[in-house]
Amino acid sequence: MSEPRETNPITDFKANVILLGAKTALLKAQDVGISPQSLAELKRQADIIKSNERQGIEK
Amino acid sequence: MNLTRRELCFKFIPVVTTGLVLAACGPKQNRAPSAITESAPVIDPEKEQLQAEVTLAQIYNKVISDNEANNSYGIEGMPSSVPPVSVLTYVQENDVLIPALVASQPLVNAIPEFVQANSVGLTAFLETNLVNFFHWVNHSKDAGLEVTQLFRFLQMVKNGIVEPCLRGDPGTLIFSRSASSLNGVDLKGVYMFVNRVGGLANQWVAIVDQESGALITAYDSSLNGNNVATAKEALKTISREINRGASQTVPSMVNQNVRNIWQSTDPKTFTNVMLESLKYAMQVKLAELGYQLKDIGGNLASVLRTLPNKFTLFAVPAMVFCETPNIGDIICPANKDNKIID
Repeated sequence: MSEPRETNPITDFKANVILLGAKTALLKAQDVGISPQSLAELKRQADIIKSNERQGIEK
Repeated sequence: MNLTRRELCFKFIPVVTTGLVLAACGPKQNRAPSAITESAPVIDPEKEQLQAEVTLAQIYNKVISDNEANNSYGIEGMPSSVPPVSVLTYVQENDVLIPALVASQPLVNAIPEFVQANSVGLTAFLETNLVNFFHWVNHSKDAGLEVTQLFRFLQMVKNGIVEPCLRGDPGTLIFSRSASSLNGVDLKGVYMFVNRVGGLANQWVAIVDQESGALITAYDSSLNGNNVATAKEALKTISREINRGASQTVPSMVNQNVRNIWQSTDPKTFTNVMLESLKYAMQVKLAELGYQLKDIGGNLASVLRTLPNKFTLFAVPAMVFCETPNIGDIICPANKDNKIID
């Protein structure tokens, strides 16, 4: 099994959500040590990304 | 009457939960009743605690019998999205997971039995919510521990990572990173304690809040994306941290508060780590719900009192966090045998 593409948990957060899934992307981001408010904001972003993905599939 | 978990939880919200949430979120170390709120009505903590325990014992017995009858826990997950509306509007329209603490000896006693009696559903619920509540328990299994073994994981972090670093043992490193912003994300000021005594393929790191000493996370930094330990990945962890602005430091330069907490040999003092970690975890959860602690301040109690009963509560037995049991303290009442569930 090949190693997943290396991504930065913060700067590549959107890519991580798409490639690895929202939960994994958020877990990786938390390992960096971010503020509670920023974590909440990232969660919101992840929800939006996943929602857009679902809508794209449904269309 | 079928009593779901939501109904069960809602019944032990009132004074106990409100006070505990405030105490856990507030900036004060003193968790005596007088420190909770000045405007709250005068209560008899001992009477309140006893009443809460009687109620909980009744609820527990009822839940056991109901679950034996229908094997239903009423468990639902946390909503995946948090729309930009007020908390009250949101909880009125959705089932919301509210983190809270319950300092009840009957509950603490009941949890292990309850888990054993209802192992599949409730264990799954506890594991799911512990992982959501304390981020670092996600890494417990890499240390050979279950996610419910909170104190054992913390002991591993203390004895196996932080203390060797603070002693300056060979094979250890300490990095310091000031609070900063990266791509609009606020990074906390942290220490990264690195222990590679076991080799680069077994390099555990602990990320600790510079001010409070709270454990933000601890993980085996040698594990790559495929969960395979490599020296390359261990080195990448260090280089990434340096790229985020971290610099190497020495034990004597570490915040005295952090050193006091993590080097303490008094188990009562060590519970401060759990308490500080709990505060951080609660802030995360509250922020996810759209809360800003600085905005709600002392009004949190009144907000909680107005919450409708259509919401979910995650109860943590707070007794394990007690540093000094005191008869006047509703969080840590005296004359009780504190029990750690793991």
